[in-house]
Amino acid sequence: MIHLDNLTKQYDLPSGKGGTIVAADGLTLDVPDGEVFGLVGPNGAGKTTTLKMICGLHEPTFGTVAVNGVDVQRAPEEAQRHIGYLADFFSLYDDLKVWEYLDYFAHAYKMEEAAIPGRVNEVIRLMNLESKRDELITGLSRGMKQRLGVGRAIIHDPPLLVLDEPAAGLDPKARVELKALLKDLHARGKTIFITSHILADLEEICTSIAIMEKGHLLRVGRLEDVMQEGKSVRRLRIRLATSGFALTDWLSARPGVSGVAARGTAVEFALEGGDEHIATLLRELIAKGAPVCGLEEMSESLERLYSRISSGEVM
Amino acid sequence: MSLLFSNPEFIRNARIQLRSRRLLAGGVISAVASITTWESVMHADIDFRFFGLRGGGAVFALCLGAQICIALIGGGICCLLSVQREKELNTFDYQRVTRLTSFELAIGKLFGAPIATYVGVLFLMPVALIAAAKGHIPALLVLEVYVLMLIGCVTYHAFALMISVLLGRSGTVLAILFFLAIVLLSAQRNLYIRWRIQSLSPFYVMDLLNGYAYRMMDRVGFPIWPDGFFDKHVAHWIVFSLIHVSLTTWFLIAVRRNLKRDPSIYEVYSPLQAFLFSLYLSVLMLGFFPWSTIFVRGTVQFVDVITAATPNSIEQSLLEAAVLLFGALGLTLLRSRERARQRVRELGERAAGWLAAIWPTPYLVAAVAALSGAVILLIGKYRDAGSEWNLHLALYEAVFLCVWLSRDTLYLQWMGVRRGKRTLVAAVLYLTIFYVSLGVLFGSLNLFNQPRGAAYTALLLPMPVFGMEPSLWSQAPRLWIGALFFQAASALIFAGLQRHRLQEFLGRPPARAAG
Repeated sequence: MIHLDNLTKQYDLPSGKGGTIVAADGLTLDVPDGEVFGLVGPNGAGKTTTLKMICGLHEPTFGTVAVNGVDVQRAPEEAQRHIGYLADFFSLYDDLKVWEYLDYFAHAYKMEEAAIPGRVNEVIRLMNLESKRDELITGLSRGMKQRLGVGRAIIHDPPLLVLDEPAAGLDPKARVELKALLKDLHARGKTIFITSHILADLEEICTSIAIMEKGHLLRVGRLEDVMQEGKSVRRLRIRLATSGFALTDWLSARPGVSGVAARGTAVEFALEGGDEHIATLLRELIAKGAPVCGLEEMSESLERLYSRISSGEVM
Repeated sequence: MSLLFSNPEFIRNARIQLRSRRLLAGGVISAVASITTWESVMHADIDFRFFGLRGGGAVFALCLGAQICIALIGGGICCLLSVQREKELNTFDYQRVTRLTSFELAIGKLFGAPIATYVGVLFLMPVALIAAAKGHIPALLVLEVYVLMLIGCVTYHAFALMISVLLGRSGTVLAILFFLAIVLLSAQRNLYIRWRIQSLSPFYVMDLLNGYAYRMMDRVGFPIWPDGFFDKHVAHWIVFSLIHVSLTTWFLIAVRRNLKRDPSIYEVYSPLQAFLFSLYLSVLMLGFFPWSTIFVRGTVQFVDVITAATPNSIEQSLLEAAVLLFGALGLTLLRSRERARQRVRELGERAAGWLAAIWPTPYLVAAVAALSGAVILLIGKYRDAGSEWNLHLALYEAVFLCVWLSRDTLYLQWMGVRRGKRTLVAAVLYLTIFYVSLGVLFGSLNLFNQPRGAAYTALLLPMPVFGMEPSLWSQAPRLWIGALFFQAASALIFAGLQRHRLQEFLGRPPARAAG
């Protein structure tokens, strides 16, 4: 759906502050159809610039962007037909009514005249804004406005949604609603390219992610692959049925085991190696008479992984 | 019409601005204003006149004046804010990603943004029309003033819209002040006095009413002389309409070109468009010049400021007028740093060589050559056979204008491709300081009044050249030619500096982020 090839955007720093800043540095990326692709990174990483280049709002310094096979620079209006865009600091026309707002964009996207009223009602229903249909936008809550913004982005039924920090500034309830909405849109076959600071949300809805910093992509791939990447050491937890066995000492004496910590009748530790190492350790432990009643692998959150990658802990 | 009434942007503006409560409020205010004006004029104790009209005619003139102010100034400010405000609110990007073409968006904004002011004008129409009937103003005249007013206002709105597109997220107040200054300046009669053309301001329609009033009294009112294009009489309403329609088209071309572009690579016009626009303005300037009467002492009506002109003074006067025109052309052709970098990316070495480094000189040279050639030909055609004319001096002045404009434009272009914030604004500021300081310095040394001193000042300033008498030239021709070569050398230095900057773009971006 999206193909970035050596995409680069340079900005000049003011004279006296040095050379140029590279907001996006030779980004090459493919986002297949039907993905929910999350772009993660700190402020100033170049996420918004990348999104704007995908939408044809910024000209790249080098490189190309194609959306659904259409070169965005060569045929921006054709490419934009396939894109629904929501900006980070979004604003709506407060003096329009909800239906008028969607009607305006439906016409602006040159939808079939006869299909517009039906589509406007459908989107209002989808966004759960039926009760606000004839109200001025100025009276909507922040969450409702955000949903209307998403509604505007999908009014012309584009296959790709590009959403820049859609959850920013939303209360927990509105965030939950937005997540449900995005999952629903994904289930309807939309490809979603999304940035967010709320990594827990991204972890929940994304199928693929990229971690970006200072214009570079540090990691790109399927969410589970990225999460698994760099895990040569796995964190495990063993629970014993009774406390008679000196599990901490036994584990500490074994090669490849580190970071052993007791947590009640359970012990947490890190183990180098793959599944066969776990199987061997478990077999030997039971042979020693340890009353093992549970073994689990502790998952790492995206937030933790991101902080480890950005701090250079994981190369 | 369907382009307008089915235009989503027009409809959006209409929906926002014409809500029933707002219409009701506007209607009530207009009704109160109408009744008050009617009552106070029609039942005044004194002999109240407005633009020579009394009674119903005076009410009509008052209403018309108010309508022009509402439509021209109010509507202009609405257009000026239309795109700039969208940028400020962050809604403009949403319009840019729709499938509306730049032209559709431009038309929607041009007529949609000031729609409330048009409705305000309509609210005053009942009292205006009743007053016109009561004052026995001919229906054809009423129709003419409204049509001309509308055409004129649309041009100013298109101009305001063009400024709005080119503005960033700030500078609104300055832009409004600039627009108001243009409105006021263009309404000044002195602006048109050198040319055989009446006012191009929408306020001109008030002169029409005034002329009618004085004709009714068999008296002479404000001087109104017929428009003449290359000495052919043309009715002013035709001139007014054609010039305004063509200017609106030019402004819309600029809006259409930039409206959906990345702001970092805005270009008001393509080089060819800018060149053709400057030629169009040159044709207007020369066409409406009073060629057949200018050389005849004492017989020129209303152009007394340049009666008894000599061929050389006419040429100098026209070249001086052209400085503003070609200065604007040069500014329009300047490439931003981002645009220059984009060209280097697309064209490679070719966009960083010497030909690119002398940009935008070729277009300036062509424009100045075309105008100067036309001026020299027309002077040759219209001047008295016996009048003294130094053709060499005329040619020298044309070449000097060309080289001097190139020097300053190359300087601005070099500054424009340098790294930094608002480098072009800084460059214009430095240039202004340069001219003011040197003008004061040379003036205090009395160099402008000495034959050799004036020639030395021409090394840096153009003013002595455009006020030069043939006798001054003959006293130090080598010095004047030396000044010309010095200007050309300065221009080459700036071209070299620009080339150096362009060469920097040839490398790939640094491998790692710098910020």
